Amino acid sequence: MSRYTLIPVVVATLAGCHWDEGLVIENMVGTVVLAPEALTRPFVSEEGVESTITDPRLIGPVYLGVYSGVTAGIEPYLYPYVGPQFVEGVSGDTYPYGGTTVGDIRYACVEFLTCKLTSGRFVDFDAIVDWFGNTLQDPVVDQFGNEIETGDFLRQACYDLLEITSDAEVRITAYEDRNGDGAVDEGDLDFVVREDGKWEAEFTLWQQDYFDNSAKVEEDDGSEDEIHGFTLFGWMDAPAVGSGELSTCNGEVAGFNENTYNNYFYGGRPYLDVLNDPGFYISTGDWVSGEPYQYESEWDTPELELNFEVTE
Amino acid sequence: MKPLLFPVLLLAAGCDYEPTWLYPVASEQAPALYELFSEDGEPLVPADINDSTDAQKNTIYAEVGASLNAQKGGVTFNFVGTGGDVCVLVDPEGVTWTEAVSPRLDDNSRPWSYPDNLYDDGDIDIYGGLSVYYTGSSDEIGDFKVSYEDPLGNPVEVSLSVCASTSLFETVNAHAGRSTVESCTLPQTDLGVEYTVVLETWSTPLDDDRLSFGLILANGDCGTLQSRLGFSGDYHALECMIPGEALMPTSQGPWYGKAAINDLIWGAPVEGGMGYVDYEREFCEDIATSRIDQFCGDEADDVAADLSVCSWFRGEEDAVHCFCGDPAWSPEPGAF
Repeated sequence: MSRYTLIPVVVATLAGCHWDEGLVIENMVGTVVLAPEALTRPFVSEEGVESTITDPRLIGPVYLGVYSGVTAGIEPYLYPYVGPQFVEGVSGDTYPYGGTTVGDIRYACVEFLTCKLTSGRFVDFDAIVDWFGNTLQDPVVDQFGNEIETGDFLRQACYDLLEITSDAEVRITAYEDRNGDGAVDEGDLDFVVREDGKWEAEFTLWQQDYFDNSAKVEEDDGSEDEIHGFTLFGWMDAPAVGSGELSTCNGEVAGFNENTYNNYFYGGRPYLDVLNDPGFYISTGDWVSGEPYQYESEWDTPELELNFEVTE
Repeated sequence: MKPLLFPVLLLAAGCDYEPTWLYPVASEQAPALYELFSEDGEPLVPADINDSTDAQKNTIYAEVGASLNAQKGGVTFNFVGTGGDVCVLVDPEGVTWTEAVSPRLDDNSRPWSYPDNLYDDGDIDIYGGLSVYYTGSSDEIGDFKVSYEDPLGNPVEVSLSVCASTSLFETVNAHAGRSTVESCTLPQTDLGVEYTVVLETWSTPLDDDRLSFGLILANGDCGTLQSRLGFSGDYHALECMIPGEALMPTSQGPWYGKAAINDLIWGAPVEGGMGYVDYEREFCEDIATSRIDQFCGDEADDVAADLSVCSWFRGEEDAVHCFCGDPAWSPEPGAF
């Protein structure tokens, strides 16, 4: 084969490597912001002293979804568009394009804590024991009903049941120096306090397909100004007053099944349709994005504030 | 320019490749796609099933062939809504299990020390919903999907199949898998409105590309039906809810009631031989210490004594295939 033949063959072959599939897939990042009111509650101590506590342990999992848009009139806040209703009594689906969470419901190693723990909220295991025992006045107990008094006991329960050897594998507590200050502490939790007093966390929509309305605008002979992408909507599932349970958690027959001797329980996990039907799970005390963010491009880095408290 | 023609021709030839040799040979007796009717040619009617006698009397047996192209195949049937729940339960040909290659110490321990014969298993997946949403025809199997355009103008595909099937491990909206009983309940069917059920052929047995199966269409939900007939709890036992569904290839059927297929079950005519029903029975019975191993061990001994007893692989057309696998198929420790 002469070079006159080889060169066009090679060029044609290489050209095939630059095939544009028309897919826009990116890791889309941004921040979620909570006002201090969202993590502030009144508590009564064992001695009967009333006090108000602002603590990141009052932040449940934050669910973020990207939807075709939001509209008023379905819920008391701007809510994702809902698709057609096919079955009487069953609301339509919001058909999200994707989503993520900031903090997730974790397997908590004792049945007592099932559906009560969100990752990235507790500095260490002592903070868990302290929170339930001293603040909520509802001490953590083991499978025999005995109170767990130290974080090390709880940590060892996790290590034993999960057959692991590090906090990073349990992934409930802070386990890495995210802010690079040389210590693993409250500054390495998901939400950290800003100078203006609000609490902020970063999020990533991993490998998210980006969608916009460009095809529809073109079909309708609209202008380029009308083109926009999907809309980011989110909410925080606030732990229930008293028990600390999370309403988005299915702890009945879901999640990791512990089955050793007399220790039998399910570790719980989020319901599968929390993004498809958020209205079913959003309840009193939760905080919702009052102004959902409409994307202009896949490179946007939105700041989504969960500033609407659900009160009914 | 002449040297350029050679590579261009080579590239162009690659575009004209037809992999038709990969598809199975057509079977006139067992078409890949057809519609099932009741004995009088009408849509099927859900039966009241209260015991195993009712179940055997109302089981429909049939065969479906492999698809001869890239399109999916299967069997469809219609029924008229009753106003209540309707259960569809299908048992595709064969019995399958995963060979245990390591001892287990927990309560779920099963011997399963013999391999399964994977050449005689098929798989059927169930879908069902209102006939008005069904997109198929007599030439092409369909589904129950409709398209909804969201406010961004993008199409969203929505499945309106109301047949929520459950896997062996009780995962909803999952299919049962290779040669395993699959069921689904169509909840609160609309009275007098026609429904379509699709029994989609996921795979056919490799030994003859024909998949026989047993079908029950009953009033009520499947969970209650299984409990009523004593088949709740141990999912292996479900295999015996429809006994004898592995049929020797004769025609597509259908046959109405188990009595109609007693002479067609694999192994039945072999005098003194072990038939498919024996094989199923041992699989179903809760014999924690010997489950299926007794049958497979006896079969392996018989083959060792006389190679013509049965064949491990795809054999002659009239050859009897072994129900269990060849013990030599067991992987060596540490092998993949």
